[in-house]
Amino acid sequence: MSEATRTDVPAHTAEPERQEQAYGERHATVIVNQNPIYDGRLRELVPLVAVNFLLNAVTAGFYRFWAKTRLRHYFLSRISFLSDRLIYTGTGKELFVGFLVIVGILVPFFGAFDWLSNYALGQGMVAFGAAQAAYFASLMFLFHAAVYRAQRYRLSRITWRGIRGGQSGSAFVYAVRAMGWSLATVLTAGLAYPLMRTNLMGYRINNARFGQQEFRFDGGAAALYGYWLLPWVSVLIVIACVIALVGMVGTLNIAEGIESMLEEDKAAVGDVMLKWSPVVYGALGLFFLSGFWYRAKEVRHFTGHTTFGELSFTSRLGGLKLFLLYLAYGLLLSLVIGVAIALLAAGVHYFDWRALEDKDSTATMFIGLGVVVLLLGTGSLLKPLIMQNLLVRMFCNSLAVKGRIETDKLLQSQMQAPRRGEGLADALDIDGF
Amino acid sequence: MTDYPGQFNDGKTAVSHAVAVRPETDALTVIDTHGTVLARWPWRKVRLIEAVTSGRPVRLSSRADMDANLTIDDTSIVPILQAFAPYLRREPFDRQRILTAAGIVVTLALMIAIFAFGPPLLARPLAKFIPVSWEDDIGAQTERLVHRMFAGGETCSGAEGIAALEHLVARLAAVTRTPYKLRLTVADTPMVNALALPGGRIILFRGLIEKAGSPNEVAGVLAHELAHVTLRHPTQGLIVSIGWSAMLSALTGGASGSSDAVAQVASELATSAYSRDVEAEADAEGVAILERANIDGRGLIGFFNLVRKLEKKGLKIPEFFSSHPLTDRRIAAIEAATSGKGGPAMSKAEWNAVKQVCD
Repeated sequence: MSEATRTDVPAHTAEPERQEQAYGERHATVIVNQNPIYDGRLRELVPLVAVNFLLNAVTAGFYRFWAKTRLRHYFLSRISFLSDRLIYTGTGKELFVGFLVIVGILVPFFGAFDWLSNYALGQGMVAFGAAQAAYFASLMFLFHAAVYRAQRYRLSRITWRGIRGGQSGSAFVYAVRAMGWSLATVLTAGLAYPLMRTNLMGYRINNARFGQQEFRFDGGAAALYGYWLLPWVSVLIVIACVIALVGMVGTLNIAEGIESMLEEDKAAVGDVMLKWSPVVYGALGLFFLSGFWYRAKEVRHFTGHTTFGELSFTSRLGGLKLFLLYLAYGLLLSLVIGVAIALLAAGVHYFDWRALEDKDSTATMFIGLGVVVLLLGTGSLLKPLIMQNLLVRMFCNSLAVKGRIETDKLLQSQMQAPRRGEGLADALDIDGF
Repeated sequence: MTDYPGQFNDGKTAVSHAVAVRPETDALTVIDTHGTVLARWPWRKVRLIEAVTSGRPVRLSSRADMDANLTIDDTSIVPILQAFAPYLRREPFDRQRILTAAGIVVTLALMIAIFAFGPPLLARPLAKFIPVSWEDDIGAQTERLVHRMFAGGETCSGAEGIAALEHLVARLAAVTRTPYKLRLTVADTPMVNALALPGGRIILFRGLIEKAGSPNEVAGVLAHELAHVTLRHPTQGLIVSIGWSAMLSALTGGASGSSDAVAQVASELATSAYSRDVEAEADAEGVAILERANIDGRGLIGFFNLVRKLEKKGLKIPEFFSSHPLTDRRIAAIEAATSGKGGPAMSKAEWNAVKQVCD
């Protein structure tokens, strides 16, 4: 910084440095050829996560709205593009109000469906099946609507250089599309999955905008199929095995239930299951593993076919890195939860529960609930520190942005931003950031 | 007063202006390189976008212009900012924030109250609205399930024994008011237990009949179960557990990523707490039924003592305890309620028939 410390400002100074000299700016146009930079540090993250964890434990998860907001605020403020950091403008209060609104709707909804299922049980298996199917279908619909609404809320709360993000389109339309494509995927035993993802992602990206400039997605699904082959084949293998097993069991005589099966028939089914279970497990493992490479391909494909005005994006995200990240996280998590369960078991073994029986039952209930929440929450400490932190870093490092951006033409968004957020996503336990 | 170099976004376009930031007496002024004043932010409107951290730039905005933001690399401006805007770090306590905080506390308290006391309070009036035919259907389904689960579908069907038991049930039912058709079945399993299901179905387990020392003990257990039925506890219990699981699913959301497990455990704990109150109610009403039917109420106490004796001997009867937790307090309450009046529940001959109902 040069002559900034003076008490008067001359009429003409040397050209404002920084931006122009670094990026060849003429007027307000910037030539871009860089990736967003993430500079989050563990030593900043640890106290943040620790405070979140404690307050969450003390309030039995009630604090999560403010905890999530603090985390998002931190992560976004550590991402910078063209030397300008992002800002998250959401508040815990908005998430909290969204939660209240949705709870008022969902509790009666869940309760009514629960009773309906119980009642349908008495009317026979067909009615029960229908009730369950209706329940699942509505849950799925709500899930997709929630995903869309959550994206809208989050985009509207992200600011770069003062310009807000936004999203048009309709959550209802999106959910209907998602249900239709899900059906197609099921009917084709998973073959339609890349098509579904492309279609749905396309809808989400094409409706996303920053300021008054829209994002554009123009990719097809063909490129994904190379990576989807292996996962799909694994799914087919599992389905084939299940069908074979069901077919075999169907030919046997099971009039009265499993107990009445002939011993030799039981042994035969057991034999078959034993012989073929390595195949099934192998196929599931293959599906799980190849999924990482497919997921990375998706990110590269969707990113590569997205444009923002004259900016284009490229991602170099690799499947191996993604796999290693999840592997490390999974191992660490198992270790922590294992220790927590061991402690719990020791407590149950040594503690005299009878002594509590005569005391106030409400107190017992709260103590029990508190202990459970505390133990299970231990795992949640690791997620932001490892998973989210590294994911953001990986994503930023692998993303290259190229092109031109005319900063004086990128105008502020005029869209109406949602006033409260994500109640549905919270209630349906939809994750992400 | 020195100027500080900074970057300014005006919130109208994405242009990043290199500016000089000048703290003046009444406002923070932002001046671009051509000398134009881009913004004047009165001090009481200036806010920090994020807490000041060492090694990080200072970022400011104004409450009067929320989209605009200012970034200053030189953190030595912070003491100056704090001198001019003492509320910079701490958001001022204006009325809106106090109301928000109060609203949150009230909501939290309300939710805890509703969560702890709601389902039980609502269950009683709600149960009245459930049609008897619904309860009957659910009861029938559950009865089949229980028989299949615990006894492989086997029931005891000694004709004389069943007749004696049904006679006893009719005697007890005659002194109560219930809209249900009472049905009794005996599950052929050594488990010691008795259950009352929605819709007036009662299931006795063979183990209980075998271990009982006198017909009055069986009568006591039957009266207790009948009390559950008359007071519509099974249906209330169903409403309560549904209410709690629905509420817990919504309340904990994705709190620890294992909300299902938490909800399950909490549900169990909550339901068992509620059950204890319900059991005490059934105890009192059961004794009242026995008295009205002219049967000696001490039979129930005799049975509880028998079960406790068996337990001390090392014979664990976990299933009985989980649904009928026995405490000294409970036994004392029952003892206080019985008057010792009344006679035997059935004749010797009938009792022999009952003992052989599973042969």
